[in-house]
Amino acid sequence: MDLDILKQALASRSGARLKMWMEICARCGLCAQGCHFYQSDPRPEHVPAYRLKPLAELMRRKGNVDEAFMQELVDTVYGTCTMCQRCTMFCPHGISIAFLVRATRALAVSQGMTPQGLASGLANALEFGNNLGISEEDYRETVEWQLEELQAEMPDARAPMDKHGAEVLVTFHPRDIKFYPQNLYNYLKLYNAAGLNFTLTSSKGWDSTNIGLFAGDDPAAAELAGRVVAAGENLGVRTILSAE
Amino acid sequence: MKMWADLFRAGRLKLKRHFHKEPATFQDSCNFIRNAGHFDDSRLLLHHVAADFREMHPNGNHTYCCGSGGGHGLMAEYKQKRLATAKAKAEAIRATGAEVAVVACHNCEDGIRDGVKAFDVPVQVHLFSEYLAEAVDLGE
Repeated sequence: MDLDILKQALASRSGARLKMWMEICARCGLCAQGCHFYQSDPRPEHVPAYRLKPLAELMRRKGNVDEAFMQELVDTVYGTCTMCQRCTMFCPHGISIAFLVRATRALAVSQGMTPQGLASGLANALEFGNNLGISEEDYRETVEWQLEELQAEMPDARAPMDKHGAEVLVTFHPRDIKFYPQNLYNYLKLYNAAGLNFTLTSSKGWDSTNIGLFAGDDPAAAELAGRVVAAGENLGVRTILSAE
Repeated sequence: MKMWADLFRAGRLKLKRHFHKEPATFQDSCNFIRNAGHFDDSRLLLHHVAADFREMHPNGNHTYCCGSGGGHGLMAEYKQKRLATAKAKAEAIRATGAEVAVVACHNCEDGIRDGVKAFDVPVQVHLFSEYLAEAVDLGE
């Protein structure tokens, strides 16, 4: 635990919107009917407003908390919320609980307490350019393989790589490459059938997933999104497509 | 999804009408529907390619999360809780009587697949891209 870093992280997140929402939540519980956690398993800790409790307590104590407190915070804001934003539609004040949950996740990130599954996917994405650690060679080979398969059905099909001046950059979820190459086939089929002027990129920007966003890790999220944007800008495209 | 709908509206992407015969429903994803607002785009395509499209309730902006959003697909440490709380969505799918659940999000694909398995809902899960690619009219 580094309390100075935690307090800095808390201060940097405590803008007007966060403070206002934390103050006006009346704990009325109307959000409960909005949440699939509560609807599936109605327990007090599954009421969305409950997820604000760790942040409220942390603010009250001005960041002076211990590791056990932080572990409970992690289990609450990572373990009991998918940040789907359905609860906001049931809140009389329209409070974005997902926004507050994400801000709280960032406090866990500041202490290196990102849950293991997210942390390792994120490390992969930052190191290899995609969260499954696929090499550029494997990526290129999978594209060529699926293009050949598609050409049996559509002889004129193309999958241009790094084509400057294309209108659209098509990006993927890494699992389309590693586990479900048929998905790649389907995307190429749709765009070829429509005669879209598209390109793929061999740069690290081909993975448009962003685990940094889920984790609440802003610098990592910005780095990953930046790679996709850079790939699009370098190729001069007008549009970047993510998988679905 | 927006691109497919735009290409379809422009007459560039040709899809066979009512190509899919089996009853189908659609998972409105938090990202593409609630946040990005592509409900109309999704229904334009679904009503064209599905002969028996059935709405889940709730749907659209009131859709339940698949259970796998917000990084839950990657956090094995919370998997049991995720599966237990997939009940609301699994029952919404069961009530449609659909044989196919179409999903337009990789997170949803996992969330729905795990959820229907956990609650024994007899439904196949297909990505929207796959569902549309099968229905492409190549003019043979």
